[in-house]
Amino acid sequence: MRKIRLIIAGCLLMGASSIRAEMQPSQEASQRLFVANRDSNYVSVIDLKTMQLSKKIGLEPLSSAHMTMAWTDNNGRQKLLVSLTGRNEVAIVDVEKGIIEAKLPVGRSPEHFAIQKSKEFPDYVAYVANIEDGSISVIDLGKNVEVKRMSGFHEPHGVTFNSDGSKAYIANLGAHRVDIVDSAKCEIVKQLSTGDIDQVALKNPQRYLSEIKGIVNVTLTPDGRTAYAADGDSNLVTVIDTEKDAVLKTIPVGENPWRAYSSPDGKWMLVPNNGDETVSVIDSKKHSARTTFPAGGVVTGINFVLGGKKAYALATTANEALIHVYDLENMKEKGTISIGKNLRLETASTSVDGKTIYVASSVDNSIYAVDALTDKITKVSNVGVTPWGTTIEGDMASYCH
Amino acid sequence: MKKKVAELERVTFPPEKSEQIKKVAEYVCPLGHTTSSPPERFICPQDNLKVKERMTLIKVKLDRREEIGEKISGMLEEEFQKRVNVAIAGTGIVQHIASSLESTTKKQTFGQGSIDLYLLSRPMNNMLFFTNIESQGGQGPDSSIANQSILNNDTTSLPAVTQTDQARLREAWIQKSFSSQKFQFIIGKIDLTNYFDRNRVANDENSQFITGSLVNNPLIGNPSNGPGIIFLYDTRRGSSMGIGLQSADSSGVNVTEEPFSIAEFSLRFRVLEGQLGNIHLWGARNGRTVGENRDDYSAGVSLDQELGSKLIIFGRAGRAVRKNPVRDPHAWSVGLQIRNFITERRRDKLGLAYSHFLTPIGTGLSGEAENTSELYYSIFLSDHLTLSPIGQVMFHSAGSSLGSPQSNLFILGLRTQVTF
Repeated sequence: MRKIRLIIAGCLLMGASSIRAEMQPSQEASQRLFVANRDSNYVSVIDLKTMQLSKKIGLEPLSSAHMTMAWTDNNGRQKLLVSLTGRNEVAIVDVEKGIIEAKLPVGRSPEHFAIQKSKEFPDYVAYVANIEDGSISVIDLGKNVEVKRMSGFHEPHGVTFNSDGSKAYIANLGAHRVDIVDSAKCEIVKQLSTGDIDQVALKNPQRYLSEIKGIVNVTLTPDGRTAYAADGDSNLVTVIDTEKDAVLKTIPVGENPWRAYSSPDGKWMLVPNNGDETVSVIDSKKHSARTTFPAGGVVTGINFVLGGKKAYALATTANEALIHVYDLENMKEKGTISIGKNLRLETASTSVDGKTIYVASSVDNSIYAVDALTDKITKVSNVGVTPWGTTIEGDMASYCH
Repeated sequence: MKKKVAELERVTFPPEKSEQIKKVAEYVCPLGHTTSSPPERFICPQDNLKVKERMTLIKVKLDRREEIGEKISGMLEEEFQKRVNVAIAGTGIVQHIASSLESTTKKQTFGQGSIDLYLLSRPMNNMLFFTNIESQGGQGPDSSIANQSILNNDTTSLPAVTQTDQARLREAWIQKSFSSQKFQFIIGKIDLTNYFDRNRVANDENSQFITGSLVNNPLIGNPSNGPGIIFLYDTRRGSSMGIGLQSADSSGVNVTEEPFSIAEFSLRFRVLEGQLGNIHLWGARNGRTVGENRDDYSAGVSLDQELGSKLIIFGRAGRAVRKNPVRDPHAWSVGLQIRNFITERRRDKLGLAYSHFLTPIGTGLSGEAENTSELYYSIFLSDHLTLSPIGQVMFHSAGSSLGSPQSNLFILGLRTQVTF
């Protein structure tokens, strides 16, 4: 608790407070990797010191866990939130006891969520995006209750809180729009358009009227002053001024951009363009494209290591899973790391020290640890069936897809 | 128990979902803020800048039963659209000549009323069938005061001013729209002034100014309602154009031979902080094969402009070129309309206007010019009832074939309009 207070004070002094930073765990807590397995009835806990599966936290059958996120509550207990997409529920887990503390029904198909502490919710709140029924469940994690279910979203995919938790940015995958929610009111207060899709659709109406690729996630820069939202159909990244909540700029990128990933040093936003298989590098200070890296395959995540000097892009091609390596100091592509034939990479978490990433490989039910200094791979097998979302408490760039 | 049932339903019978991609309008501010309905006066509340309307795509997920419900709603709506919709409007006008230099017209009071029955149906998609049957009774001051401006424009649909009570078919036409309603084609018995020389605040004698020269430009020279055709094209980007052709003598005989023709180009624009303005430029030719107006040409402009949230100003001007003129006439008018003039009366309207008409010197017209002004205050009493006290001053009338010019007429009136 004292440590949390210290971190808050530090953040205030820096003028760039981040509650996620406040969620910095104890060293012990950050030595666990949590893995949501879509086809196992448990969440796997991997001890990162021994690289062994140390615990299985049981779930009910057909839970189809999608994402997990860990935090330490105000009593110092490590908790885990798991979205149970198959059961339209979320589970709140007491990690030390290895039991589900509460199971709450939410909307249809909960997948992604974000956790934050705010004035209204001093014991943390979670916004859970129920993608199938276009709603956001507001979960009071102090009381383990759903306090409100907000509607009016279109396939809500990513949820991003600002640093003090006063508002949340909701990415609508089924629309070309970012919704901004006032956390005190728990309602949408502003909506931002991310592209003139009607003009884009003129090129190929059949294509755009049969599927929408909107916004996957809104990514904040570490200083919290701007947010980046890539629109899959518009081929644009919209830069949002988070103070005014207004569009600052739009940056053209490659085809079918997935989402933006922020480097921890705040210098770069990397945007994988899965249409033309490239990665756009955007200067986060100038809000302009710096360069484009070649990629290959469908990129489902980017992890930064070594303080942002290096980035790994997880890619899956027709017959191979690989990791593209980018040197951001010299702005060069450094080659690829082959993970294996006929595998599929899902998500990855970065260790708190930024020296290792842990990649979920869903086909062979494994986690691959990649050493950032040597690019050496260590495999942990049989972590569960179809490992999907991974998290380490304190990994500030934890994501899912 | 209810909770248990809901829980059971949730787990055992989750509603099947279907996806639909819908094209919907959005209103986008320059700073990216977007809303699904237009903000007031099309101004963004965040930055006071003008919004842009555009279409966007959204994915909606419906329960199967919702989808069926939506289909049923759609079918019901379609069925409803096939039905004939009926509207009725009644107008009663009392006008009293309060002041006149002529003893013959002094203190006269006139009563006139009309009932309009509107029938609207949609025989097929993008097609509209419209009928207006009007019944009128009584007379206005124009039966006593010879003038060109027309002191009660509601009486003009009577073929002859002296004829009092009658019912007739004013309009009956079919409208077909194409290309998302960008193109419209109208054919039937039409009123050309519904489509040309329009003005937002000076174009309807039943709810705005009653004086004819403030309802339309007196120099258009269009025949009374008759058979004709109209083509309209709206770019949906602020400009539109139209061409209208009508039987010059309203008879329906020789409709295509030497018709009255009119063409118009219109612009819709926003100025300053997004206040809406319209300008209509038109040109007309009277192709009547017989009679004094053959080969008359006229051109004019009508404009209106919002200034702030309450005030709209307007103006009209026109000039005619006649084949055998003693003098080519011209006309102009200016005025304003103020909404919510009294703070507590949000839906009341006040109108003030002045019109000038330099007449052609011809049969019965010995006056040089005719100048008229009008002030009305429209009191909103309910969604169905409006009451309007009206004051008109004709500084000098030009006379007509019915009588000699007169000066300094002051007419008080009261108009009641009932709509259902």
